[in-house]
Amino acid sequence: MSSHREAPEISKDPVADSTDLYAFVSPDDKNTVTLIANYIPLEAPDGGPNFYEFGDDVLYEIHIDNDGDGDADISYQFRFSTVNNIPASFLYNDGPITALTAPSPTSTWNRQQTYSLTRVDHEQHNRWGRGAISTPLGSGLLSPPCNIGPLSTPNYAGLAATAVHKVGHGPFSASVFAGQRAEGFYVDLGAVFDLGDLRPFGQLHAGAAAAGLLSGMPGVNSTADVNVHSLALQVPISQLTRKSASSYTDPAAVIGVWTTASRQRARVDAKDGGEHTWVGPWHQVSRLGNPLVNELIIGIGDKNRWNHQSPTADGTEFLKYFAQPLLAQLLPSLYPGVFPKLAAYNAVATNTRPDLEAILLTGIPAGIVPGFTNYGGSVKADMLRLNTAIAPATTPSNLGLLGGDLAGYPNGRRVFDDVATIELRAVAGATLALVDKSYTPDGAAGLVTFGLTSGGSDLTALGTEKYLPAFPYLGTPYSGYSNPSKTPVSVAP
Amino acid sequence: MDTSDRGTEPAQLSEGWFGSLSRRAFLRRGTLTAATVTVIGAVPGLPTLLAGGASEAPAVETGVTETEAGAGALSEPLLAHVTDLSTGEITLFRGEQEIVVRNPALARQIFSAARP
Repeated sequence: MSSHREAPEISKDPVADSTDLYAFVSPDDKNTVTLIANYIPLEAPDGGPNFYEFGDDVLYEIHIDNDGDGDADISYQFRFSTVNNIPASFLYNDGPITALTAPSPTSTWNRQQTYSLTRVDHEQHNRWGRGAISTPLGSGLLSPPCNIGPLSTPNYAGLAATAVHKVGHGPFSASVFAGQRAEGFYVDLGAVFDLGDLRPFGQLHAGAAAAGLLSGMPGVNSTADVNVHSLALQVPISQLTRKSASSYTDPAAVIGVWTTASRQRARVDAKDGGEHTWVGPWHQVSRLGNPLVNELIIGIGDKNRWNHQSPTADGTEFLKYFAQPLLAQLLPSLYPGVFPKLAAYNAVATNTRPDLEAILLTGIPAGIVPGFTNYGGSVKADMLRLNTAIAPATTPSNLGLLGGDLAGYPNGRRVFDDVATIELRAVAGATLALVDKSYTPDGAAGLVTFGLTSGGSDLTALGTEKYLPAFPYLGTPYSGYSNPSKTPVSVAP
Repeated sequence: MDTSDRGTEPAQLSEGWFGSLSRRAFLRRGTLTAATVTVIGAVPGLPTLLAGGASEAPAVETGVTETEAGAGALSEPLLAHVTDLSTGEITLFRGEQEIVVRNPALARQIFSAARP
């Protein structure tokens, strides 16, 4: 998965587990950037009575590097607070939830969350020299309930729309939403983690004969019909870049984005079942920039540690994983004869993957892809790099840059980008020739796919994803009562 | 006071300033990992012990003032983690702060008190 349950430690702490990160110039408001960080993987929509929620004990952050040094210049911090309006009831709600109202003992909505949003500007001149300046943008902001069903949360889409808040203070403003959404990432987990037996090319796999694999089979969207919890912001570009960019080639146009979750250092469980005690400074337990990095690039022995580090560590202690990724070594073995040029390239021990380092760690310099760059500087750090001076595409491709769409991944990431296929093709060598002119990619490198779309123009993953045209873009969460994966059409409302 | 605090708690945020210790500096710091004995909660007299022991083994970062040491009740959780009995290194977690002290006598006292 993009980053769902991607490391042993965080897989046991879903509330703090970042799953996907998106950053794109808003297609319906081109002066703004939309940032979305998802948490809590694979929510079963009918998972009551204790439905999913953010952690009061977690510090959620979305960071922006706007000068290319790999360190955060701006951080948006989310902190949550949860109340039981009806402590004597075991139910999530005692009646229909038809409006977002502040927590109250008279509410029919029992388990309710509010949150605060703060912007932190790092390395600013302040009265002690240099430090951080924090600006509270909002407090007591209302999260929507989970989508329970037609009796509990009627007109869910309309209800959730009222959870988009306009916040601001002084020179800073934003639209913000924090709550449940439909999972927007799509991938065939059953295939990729079964030794990479991609269904469209099953018969080419080394194990095809033994397992009876077929070719031409469509992929299975493993993350269909589940929900996540999203932290979504829409911020004017001018509030994120270090200065106004003169053109797309101006380094000031590029921002690097990543998300982290942090917990306090120590927890003491309550002896009597009451509230646990958290104490000590916050320390990072989850990190996510580009999709699939910790999932498919970092070795399992380093995954926990990777989650605790800042992005600049990717250019030092984790660089070996990017320079010679194991997945690129495995592909020729899993698909004998399909990737001979990649196999030959891998056979030279000193060969590294400068294309993957550019895509994942520095951004792509100007002069490689006509009309495009998202190079922010030479510091190697895993961040989503978005060139904010490149306008949204009028006819987008889910293959992003590989599909000729300069506004798509790896130029930031949009909700519909087929990042699993894009990264698989890149690892297979499709992008290596961009930076190593002596290399000719295997024909298969540009064809491999998980089989989850009908083509580059399919923005619905074969109808399994239902995105919104406006903020927060990720779709209405699936209802517990009428989740399409479990509810026959005949009994769905 | 020099701490490893990221300074992110809302009450602090509302003040608008963090001072000179930035988040960047925090992220580049190392962390302590050793674990021997942990003492949890409000330890009667611990602030006094800390202050008193400082002369025997100078503290690395005590962060404790006489005013605080003389305070009666704790207003927030305090957790002491004896990380190295031989050097007397004790990590104190209080609120959102992490303070490291070296006090062999205190470490031995805690260890002794924690014996079954």
